[in-house]
Amino acid sequence: MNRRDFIQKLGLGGLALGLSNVPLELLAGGVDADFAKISILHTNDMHSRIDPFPEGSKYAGLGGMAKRAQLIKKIRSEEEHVVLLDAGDIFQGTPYFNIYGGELEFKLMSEMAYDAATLGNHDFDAGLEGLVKQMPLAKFQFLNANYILDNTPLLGKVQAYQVIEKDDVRIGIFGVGIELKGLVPDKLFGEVQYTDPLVAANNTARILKEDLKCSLVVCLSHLGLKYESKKISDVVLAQNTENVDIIIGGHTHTFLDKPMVVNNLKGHPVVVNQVGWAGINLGRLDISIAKGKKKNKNNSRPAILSKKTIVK
Amino acid sequence: MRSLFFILLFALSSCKVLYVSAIEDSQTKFDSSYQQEDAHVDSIISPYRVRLDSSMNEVLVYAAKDMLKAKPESSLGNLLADACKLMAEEYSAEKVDFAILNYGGIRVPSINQGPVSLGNVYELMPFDNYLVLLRLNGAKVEELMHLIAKAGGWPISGLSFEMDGDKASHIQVAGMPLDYEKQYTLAISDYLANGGDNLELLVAFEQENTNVLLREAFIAYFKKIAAEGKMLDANLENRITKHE
Repeated sequence: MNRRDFIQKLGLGGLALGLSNVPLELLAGGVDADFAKISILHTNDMHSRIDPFPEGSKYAGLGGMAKRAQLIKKIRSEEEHVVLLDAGDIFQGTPYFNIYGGELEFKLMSEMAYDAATLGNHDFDAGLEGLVKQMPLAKFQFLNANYILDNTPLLGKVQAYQVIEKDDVRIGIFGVGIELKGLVPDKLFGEVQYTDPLVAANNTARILKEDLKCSLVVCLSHLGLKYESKKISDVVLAQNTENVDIIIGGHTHTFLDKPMVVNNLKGHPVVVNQVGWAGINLGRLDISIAKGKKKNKNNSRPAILSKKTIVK
Repeated sequence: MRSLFFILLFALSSCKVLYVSAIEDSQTKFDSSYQQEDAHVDSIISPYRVRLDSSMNEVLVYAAKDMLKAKPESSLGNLLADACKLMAEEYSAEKVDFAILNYGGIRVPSINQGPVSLGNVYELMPFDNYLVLLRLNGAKVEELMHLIAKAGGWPISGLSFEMDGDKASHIQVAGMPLDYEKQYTLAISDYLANGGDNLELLVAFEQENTNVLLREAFIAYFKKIAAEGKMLDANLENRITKHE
């Protein structure tokens, strides 16, 4: 039985009972030609942590970019369709940044073949000129949709969004960044103007989904996971957008054991993830997408089951 | 270490499945059990690491003795608060009446007798906080000292007080009793000036930024001491005493 038949034969009620016996690869969709399987790998707030944390520190021995590179290479040898993303604050935190200005960070990310990264507040720590100076070393795209970059050297070097096609599936990726005023010294971010990330996210995600026919829209966010106040965050963004499927976040250095699932304006689930900081973890989302049903998708009403629900 | 979870997103319409997306999530933690490294990537890092290690090993100055961090007053705290005050005067070309640091902002328990390297200063002050100036009247200075007393005593330079429980009393600046009306110039990190470590009262005051990182100020001070042919040395001077 192919996978779609299998799923069609189960009502939602039956699903909860049946799934615990389903082999992993069937769920992940890797063996079924009707399903695209895409692996999104992600980091956030790597903060120039090139080498593992030194002895005597809280995170002694954790992290290390040579280890991450090895794992990414291994995953690429196992998976055909990999997207590698970062949610910002690549810079600042070890003397590697103070001495080399971010050169090595971009070189190593290019070596690992990152596809895209958004800008975090600390990526402005060497000033706009300092950031631009290292950009030729970055063989990946910088994404931000809510900073106005006119009259800055970043103009033309940072794009609002990017579309990547993997396994015949169009994936739209865009970035949103935090308010820099008060967080970054004025002279470092110059004339970069912050605009409402929610407005930018809704506009950009709509373009990606409707105009550019992306099946999956991923937001790289450096807003922070959530706050006590009403301040804009990944959770607020997820709740108030319509076309964002996945938010890969950063800034708050939150170690999530598993992603949060937040319902959006239409009541559809948005997956929100963040994997700590300093490259201690590599996050991974393996996504299977049914091919060729785009037309009906927007009329559909999604439901969500977590593993916990299934086990019950 | 690898952990694995599932999220399944099912899109349904009239009980007929039209579109299914399943998301399986997992994470790999790079801990001591994870040993494999990409040799090529390591070979890219290696020359940077070697150069970095050699620059971080640069000896800036020698310490005459072990200087420890402690509350309410400590030799290490006095050394660094003095450096802060002196360098702020040098960078701003203004008279600075006093300086404060927060106890938690000093990230090592001591500077030890012998060579002090650039790497030691990075460990001591990993944060990129700027050295800024604030102007407060004597009444506000008293409020600030109450907060420092409440916190158990922080590094200060240029003033002294007695700790009376949660309160500061007998506050003196440069040996003179605090004048409530007078404007005082304070050297402090922008982190504290922005209200960090419970100093919300400072948020209202305009900051004059030296545009020099606190760490750079320490480095410059240590080099200056060495250039003068001296060693780092500081003592307890009854800057903060407990009221009997």
